[in-house]
Amino acid sequence: MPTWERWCLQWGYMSSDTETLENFTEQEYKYGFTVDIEADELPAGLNEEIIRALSAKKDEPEFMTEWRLRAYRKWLEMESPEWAFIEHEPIDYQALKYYSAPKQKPQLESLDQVDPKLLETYEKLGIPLEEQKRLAGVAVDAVFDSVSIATTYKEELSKAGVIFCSISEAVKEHPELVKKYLGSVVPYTDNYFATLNSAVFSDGTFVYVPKGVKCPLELSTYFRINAQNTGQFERTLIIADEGSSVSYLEGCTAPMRDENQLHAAVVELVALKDAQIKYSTIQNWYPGDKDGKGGIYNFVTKRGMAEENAKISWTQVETGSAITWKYPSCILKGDNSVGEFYSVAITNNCQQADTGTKMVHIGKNTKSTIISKGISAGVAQNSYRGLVKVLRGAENARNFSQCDSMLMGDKCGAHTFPYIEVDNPTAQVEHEATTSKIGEDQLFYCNQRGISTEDAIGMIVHGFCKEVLNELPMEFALEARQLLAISLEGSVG
Amino acid sequence: MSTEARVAEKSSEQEVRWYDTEFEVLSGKAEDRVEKLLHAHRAESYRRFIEGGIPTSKNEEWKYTDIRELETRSLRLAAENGLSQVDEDTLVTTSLSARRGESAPLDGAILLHTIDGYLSDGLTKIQEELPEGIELASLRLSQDGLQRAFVEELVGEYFGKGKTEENDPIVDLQTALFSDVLCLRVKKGAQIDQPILLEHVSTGLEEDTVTLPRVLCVVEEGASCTVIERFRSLSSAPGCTLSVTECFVKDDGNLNHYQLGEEGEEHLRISRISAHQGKRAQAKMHSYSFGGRLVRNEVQPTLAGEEGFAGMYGISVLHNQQHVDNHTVLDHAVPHCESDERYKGIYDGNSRGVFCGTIIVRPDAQKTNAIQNNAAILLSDRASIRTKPQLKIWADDVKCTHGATVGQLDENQLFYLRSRGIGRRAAQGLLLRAFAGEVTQEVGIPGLRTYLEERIVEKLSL
Repeated sequence: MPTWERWCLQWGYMSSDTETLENFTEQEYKYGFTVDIEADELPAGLNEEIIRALSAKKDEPEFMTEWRLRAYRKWLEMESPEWAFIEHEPIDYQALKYYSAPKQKPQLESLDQVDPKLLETYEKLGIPLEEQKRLAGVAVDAVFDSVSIATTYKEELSKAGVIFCSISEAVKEHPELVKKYLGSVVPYTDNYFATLNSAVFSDGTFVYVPKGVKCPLELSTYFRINAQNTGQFERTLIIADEGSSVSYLEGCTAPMRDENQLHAAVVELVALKDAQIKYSTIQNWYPGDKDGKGGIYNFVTKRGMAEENAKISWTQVETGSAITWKYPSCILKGDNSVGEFYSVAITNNCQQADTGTKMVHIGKNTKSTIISKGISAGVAQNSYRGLVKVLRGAENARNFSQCDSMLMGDKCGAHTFPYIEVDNPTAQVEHEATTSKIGEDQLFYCNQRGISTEDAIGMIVHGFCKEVLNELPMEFALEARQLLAISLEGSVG
Repeated sequence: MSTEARVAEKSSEQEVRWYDTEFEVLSGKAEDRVEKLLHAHRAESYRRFIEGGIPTSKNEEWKYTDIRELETRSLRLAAENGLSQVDEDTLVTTSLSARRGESAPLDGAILLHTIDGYLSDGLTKIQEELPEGIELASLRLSQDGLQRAFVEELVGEYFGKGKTEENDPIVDLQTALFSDVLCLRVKKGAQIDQPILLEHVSTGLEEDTVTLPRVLCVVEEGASCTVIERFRSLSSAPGCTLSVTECFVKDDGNLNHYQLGEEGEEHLRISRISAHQGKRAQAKMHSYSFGGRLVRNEVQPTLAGEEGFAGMYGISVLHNQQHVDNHTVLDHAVPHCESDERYKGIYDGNSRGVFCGTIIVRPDAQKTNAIQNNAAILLSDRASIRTKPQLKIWADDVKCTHGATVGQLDENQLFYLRSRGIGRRAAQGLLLRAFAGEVTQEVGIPGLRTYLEERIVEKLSL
């Protein structure tokens, strides 16, 4: 069924009597399937040998191998963080495989060369590459497991001087950029999961937008976890040089499985003087079944560094994963820089989300906005955790934060942990948080006008999240509404 | 490293801290039934405390307030001899209920003193003049049968029951070592109009002494009373106060509690006020901080009966190197309760204000209505603020909001006032008084309200 048709159904534009409330609550993960593709793997376990082997397989220069080993040695000294409001079984890092790549033909220049099985997978996911290419004018760098399979629109981008490739490619072809910026925002010593990622990152995306260039396309990558027991360690590095701008979209789905999968990604954004980066995410990984079995553990470190007059904007719609541990942050280093964070986090059944942002104001006249919407249903736990820090030198810093939570059902939890640290008297920091449920009166109002309860809930939830959804690029806004509907509708009876 | 390994490492250090020595001394003292009962509490708390020791900034609850000095300083418990060396009459004349010119802020209050943590002998005289419906006794002074029985009853039924879910190392330390307990009970239906003023005096006769006052306050069904605890010191010697006040407000009871921190600016104080509330019980807890070098006011009401109300109001006015941490945990344990929390801070000099307010709404506490607000004004470019308002919500049909703002006086408002001929300082004073007004308006005693407003302006030397 095409995307728009599903969407119409879920939003009641094409009413379907068979889709009852129960259908919604018991909706199984739509994108749960594994595709049988031969994979090139390293044995399970983590040690220096594995890291060397991984680095060798990727044909990396010496500096990269050393960097990975430094990170690994640091990681050995670190302890897994326990402060987040989440519970999970301890992760056995030795049981994971750190490299898994689909057997790949050496060079692919058009879609015809891509393994038809892979293309089939994308069809099932509703993101056919051809359609994307034709319809949206979006360049798609599809990451299947760990290695990039196909990159489209590369030529068009290269005309503008934009480098858009996998990070392994960038390591080989643009080592000077990688050397300069990799780890400059999230150092390899940063935190447990980021350090692990630095040691074993498999692949990811690299974007460089040169001076004064407005990237002609919305860049997007689809992540997908496939092979059993393979932790996926994505590393994304986006550099917007002076006066440039870029919008990057990231969306994920993953096949259904029983064992928990670890995902520890690192995303680094570098916005140089007058540059703008907009980073949007839709995350819909397998959240586990109704009893909380299975599901992805998603421990992500995302951070952006904004130089003078630069702007970094994070938008995220988090509906999947058994555990979401994610704090996209902005270091507002340059004067007049701007940071934004728009988030919708939805947890249902046994999902747990501990997410939020950090805004660190260093430069003068820096501004940040935080809009976070958390929706919790079933027995899920949803936490907002954020930090707004204004350093001594950050004259006239301005922050506005709003964190709203909505609870559906009496067994779920919604929690808010904002931290505000201000060392400059000219700062203006505001924080607001509210918690509420969908009012009986609101539902009644809709019902008496002939709108069914589930449609009414959909409308109210959509209205609740609108401020965030509006920030998403068009293509994603559509998908996001769809996800909201799947994840939530019918949670309240 | 595991917790056990840490404990093992700690004990292997074999270093004897001041509290170890003091606990040793106290252990030998349990004589009668009350003492034995309390000793069981002491031993249990001490055991728990030793496991973790003094919390560091790694402990999330102590992230912004560093009290490691309690471990490293060579402290000792204040001796009882302070009692004999202080003239109680002079204390009375400087208390809030003494006449200062025409009217005292708390004229006619029932005045009690603790001196270095021990109830002063003036209590005996007061006990004779108490209004109908109040019972008062201290652990140390109650030697006759009737009073001892009262102390035993209260301690047996309530002591140590006011704590919330988690054990706090500082409360455990206080429980292990406290010096005296003031037991206060307002009997069923009694409406006590006279405020009860408890002045905690640190004599500072010796440096580095620790005073540990403790209060057990029970407001029975339908009764109401006002308790004011004021902390002050007689000298500028650096000392420490760790105080614990456990309040129990029964069904339909009403308690107004105030804590006024006016100790010397070398003083360290950590106070814990807990209130366990029954059905339709009302408790309002006010914390005003002016003095001290490092102060932490912990206020922890538990709404354990339906239709209860908890109000928490506080102001910190700081300058120089002062550090004040207002730390609240509000527990909505049952449905249909309301709470209102308002904290404000005005920070000058190098001072640091901390606010950490947690609201917990338990799974069944439907129809909860909780409001929390924290606002701070920074007057100097070296002052700083750390704010951490938290909501932990497990029920769906609730209304919870919190808001936090940090800012400075509005230049437009200042300009408006100045353009009308009001000097800059006076204009600042007006605006700050208005800023504080949202909190001070909750003070039910007019004399006390005026006093507090004056203190704020005076402290800011406006």
